[in-house]
Amino acid sequence: MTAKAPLITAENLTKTYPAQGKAPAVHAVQGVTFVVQPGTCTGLLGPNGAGKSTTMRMLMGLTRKSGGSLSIFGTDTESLSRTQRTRISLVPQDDNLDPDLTVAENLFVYGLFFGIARATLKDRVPQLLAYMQLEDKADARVSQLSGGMKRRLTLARALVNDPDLIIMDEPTTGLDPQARVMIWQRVLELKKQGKTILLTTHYMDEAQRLCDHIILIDHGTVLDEGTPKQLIARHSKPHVFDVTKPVPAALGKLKLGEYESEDVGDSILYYVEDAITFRKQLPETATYLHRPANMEDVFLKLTGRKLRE
Amino acid sequence: MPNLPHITTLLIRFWYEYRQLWTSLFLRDFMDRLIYLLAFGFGMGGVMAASHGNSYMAFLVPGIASATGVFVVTMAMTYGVWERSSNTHLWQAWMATPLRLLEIMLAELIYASLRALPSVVILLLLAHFWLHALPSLTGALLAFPVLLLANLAMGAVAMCFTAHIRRPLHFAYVNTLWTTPMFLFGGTFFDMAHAPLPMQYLSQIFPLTHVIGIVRPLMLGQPLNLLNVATSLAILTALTVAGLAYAHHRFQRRLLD
Repeated sequence: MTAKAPLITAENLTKTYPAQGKAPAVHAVQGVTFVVQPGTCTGLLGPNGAGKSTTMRMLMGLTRKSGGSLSIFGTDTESLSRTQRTRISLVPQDDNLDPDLTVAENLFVYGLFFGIARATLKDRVPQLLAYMQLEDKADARVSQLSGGMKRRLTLARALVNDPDLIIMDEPTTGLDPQARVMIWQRVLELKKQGKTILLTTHYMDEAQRLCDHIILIDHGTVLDEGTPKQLIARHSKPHVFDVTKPVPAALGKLKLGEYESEDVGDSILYYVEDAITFRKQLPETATYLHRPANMEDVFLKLTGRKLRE
Repeated sequence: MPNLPHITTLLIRFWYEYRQLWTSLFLRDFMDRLIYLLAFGFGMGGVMAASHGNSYMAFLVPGIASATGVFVVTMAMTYGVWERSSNTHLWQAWMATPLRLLEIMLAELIYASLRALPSVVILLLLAHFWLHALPSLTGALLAFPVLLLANLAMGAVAMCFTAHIRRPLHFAYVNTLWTTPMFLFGGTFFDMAHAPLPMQYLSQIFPLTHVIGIVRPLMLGQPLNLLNVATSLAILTALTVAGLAYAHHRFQRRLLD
């Protein structure tokens, strides 16, 4: 595979929000370096306050960087041309749809902002509504939509300019399983069409399912990055045994206590290299769940279990 | 530099909004003005002598017409702009497209300034045909570009307030420090030439004073003092440009830093 020029390049990117009154300055991003390859889905993961949304806001030119460099299509984000800006879309974390317009007008007007001809939009808007299963709601007001519908409309709005790069900030947070699956399907289809996607999510199953490449950040710095498989292999044993308490005393030569483990309340997680040997040591009375290690294990290992704001 | 097609597309968005809300927007704008005109025109007019051959009602019509912008544009540039910039974050949605902050601010300002005009048209038609208190229709027609400029100036100043405050509660100051004194000291109801000198000076800071200074003689069919007209137009233009520049600077810091 030949290496293509990256679509997004961040080098030593920093963002400090200045002190306001009694509130001290916030160092939201502290020297982040990463690239996003074209045609991939890259996940930016981290706990609340890790610096994900700030990074995305800088990419969209919604907030100015304090230091380092950040470029899209090889151009600094603060000097992108109008044409370049029409190739980028944002699905923001909070739906900021236009409450004074109908569902269809929301898409139509947003398309005009990108300089798309009215005639094109007259075809494209109904197509997008159908694609997001909103065609019955074309004339409804935004306030009449459910949370899931608003999210789908926000996603439809981000597709109205047929962008090359779509930045999605927690696209499925707060959605029911049906809506999440639908959005996953759409993301995978967009990827197939060759679009580049940068997304944040708090759902590790989602990240593992959708992302070709994952960048884990916390406290404004990159902790590690790689494919989901690479990250799991690097930071976790391949097998996880979730053994319900009370955990019986070990039998055989190896003691359970010698395994890497973590108490999660009503059960203990054991991270295990050799599943067969481990299972042999468990008494038949033990209640347990055996699963492969996943991104959630990696995430908790790298960012800790302490609650964030 | 702001891009004209971008501003136009935003004005289309505002047109869509207006199309849906025009009955309530228009009725509110118009009824408020009509109530003042009838109450003061007949009430005060009953005890005031006619001057220079014009009734008090005829004196009042250009004042009320000019003051329409004080309320309509100020409301739109305070609560309206706050709503979209800091509550629903619609501005952020717009800034995620090729639209720039200054273009958004300009479109907001132009829309609000234009929106204040239809109720003035109806008010003036009523004044002419029903109240017989608008001597010069030609003058009224010529007044519209001036009214528009004054609306832009008043809106730009109001946007500075909005860019400054942290909570919408603080909009109470706009009424106390700006809208009400401008409405009362700006020459809507009285000729400030009879007021003590300090009050006359104070009245000069209000855009309303300058627009009334041009529009009143126009509508009454009286000669204009060209030097005064030029000075007033220059002040209104300067307020528009300076207000926008300052509000843009503040919004940039709030939204982008």
